[in-house]
Amino acid sequence: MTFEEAIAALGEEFGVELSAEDGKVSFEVSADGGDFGPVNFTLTYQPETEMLLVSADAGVVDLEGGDAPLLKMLEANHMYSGTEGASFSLDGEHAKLERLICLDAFWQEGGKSILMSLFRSVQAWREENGTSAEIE
Amino acid sequence: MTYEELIEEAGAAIGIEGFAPDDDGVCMLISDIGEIVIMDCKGQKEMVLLNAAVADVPPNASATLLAALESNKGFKDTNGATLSVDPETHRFELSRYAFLEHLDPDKFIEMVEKFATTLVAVREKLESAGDKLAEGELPDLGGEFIRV
Repeated sequence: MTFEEAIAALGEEFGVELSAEDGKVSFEVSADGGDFGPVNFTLTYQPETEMLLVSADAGVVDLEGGDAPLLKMLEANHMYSGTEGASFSLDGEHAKLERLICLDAFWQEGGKSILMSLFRSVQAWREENGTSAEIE
Repeated sequence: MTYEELIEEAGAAIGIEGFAPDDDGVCMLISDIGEIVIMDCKGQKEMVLLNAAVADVPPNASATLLAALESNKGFKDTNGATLSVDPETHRFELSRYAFLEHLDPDKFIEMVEKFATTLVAVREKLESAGDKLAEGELPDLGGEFIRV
């Protein structure tokens, strides 16, 4: 299965039309009744390794608020205890929750279940930290 | 291939005869770069997890915490591994996991070698971030700061 085919199949799982361009696709996932806003996902295919980087935007981190939010992200990463196998990182002021997975495994595991696992972790993070989405 | 077979065969391939996990599925590789702990994680899918201590979190940690989180971005600086902080020991750690079904002895050895190389690199990076702070450079926290 190619990246483009996997993305089209993922769209079908969500009941929307998704198409990748230049090895990349971005879209937003929201939940009914969710108080913490939608989650913006970017999926980037790395053809040289046949790996897929799944990145969820967890929102803006208040970097002037001291070490606490940074420490919390790194503690959630510890043994992946607060991330369901994903990893928190920082891209500018944006907290990202990411997973690197080979394309075949993404397809076999069920792309939607992987995305929903990241979605749950982001929502839990926002709930715990009182933040919501600030997606540009 | 079971986890035990994987460890035994990988151990034999690198010259460690009889390499085997303990009753909890844990074994350890010790070298001059530190200890790499290998664990068997039986969840929905069986996983092999590598974990190693990187460095203590320094008292004024902003620069090193930022460096760690930026290193995790896209897994580029960590070669697929993840930097974290152990809330109990207050220590930076590096972890990486792979599903057992995707591993064979050669792939596992490659994974451990890459992990060891990454461990050295991220340790240097975090130490360097701490040194910069100690030398008086302000960490880039994205906001505006006035040196007093």
